[in-house]
Amino acid sequence: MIEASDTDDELMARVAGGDAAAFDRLAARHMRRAVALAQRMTGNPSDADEIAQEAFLRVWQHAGRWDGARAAFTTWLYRIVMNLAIDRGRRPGWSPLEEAGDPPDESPDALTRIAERQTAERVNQALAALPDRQRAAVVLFHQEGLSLRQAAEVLTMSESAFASLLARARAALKSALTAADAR
Amino acid sequence: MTDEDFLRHLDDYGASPERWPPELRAAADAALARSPALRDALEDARSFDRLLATPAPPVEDARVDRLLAAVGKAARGMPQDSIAVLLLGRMPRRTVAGFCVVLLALGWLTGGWLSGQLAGPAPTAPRSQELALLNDEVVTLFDGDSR
Repeated sequence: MIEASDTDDELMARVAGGDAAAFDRLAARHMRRAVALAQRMTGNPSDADEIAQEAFLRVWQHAGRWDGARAAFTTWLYRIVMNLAIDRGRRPGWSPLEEAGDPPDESPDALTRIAERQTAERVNQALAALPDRQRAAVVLFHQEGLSLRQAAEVLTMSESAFASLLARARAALKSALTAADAR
Repeated sequence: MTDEDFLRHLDDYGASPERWPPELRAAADAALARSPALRDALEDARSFDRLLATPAPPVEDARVDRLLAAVGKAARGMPQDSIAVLLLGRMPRRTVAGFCVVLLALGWLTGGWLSGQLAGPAPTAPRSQELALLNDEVVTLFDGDSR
């Protein structure tokens, strides 16, 4: 019997035993966040959907490999999503941070919104231009709010290596945004 | 922590000293407490961090429901890892490599032993021939005429 209060660990133990209902429960709990993470990395909703689905199917398929003593379920899930997103980014034809195209804004603070949107676009472009792992570092630490240690675990590196990666990413973003401001 | 150290860490880790590596936090707080210039620098850094911390993209309920239905259906038609894959998957790569080397070595030794067992009778024939030859020679040697 599956309870709403079942922890991720308990659900994963059942999933490893082939319990599809436990898998449904686990997916329902984490799907939204997995999609959002994938979309942050790819900038593309349809790619994000595919990545999130593929990530959960891998969870189902390889559930027995997960070891709760070594990593939290969310760390493992994030790692799968990140790896898939990075692989997807290497495919030809990938275009990050796709624009949906909002309708024209007639409100009095439209100029402010336009300025904010332009700033967001510049940041997105600078992020998209970063090497994959640097972009992943910014997404995990600044956008997902993971700690240095958690983000390092997701990217399977030491905390000091992650700190160094994050520092390089921040420096690259700062110079890209400064250059864009100067133009 | 000197002011220069603080500014370097501010560049590296961002404007939330409580999220810096644990060993730096107390010194960062002390540096901030003593220096108004560092507090100003922290405020500037916050505006940069705010640019990076864009809100999560909206993921509508209908989209989540559609994805959940798709993965639920796909999972039910997909086999999970076998026991052998699970056992090997849990082992560190070096252990798996060592395990494979041991298996290969055992296979080689077993193969060698088996081939020895199966080919065992073959050498006995020449040996018996040798004995026969020796016997012939003995006969020849002790044949009075041939001496």
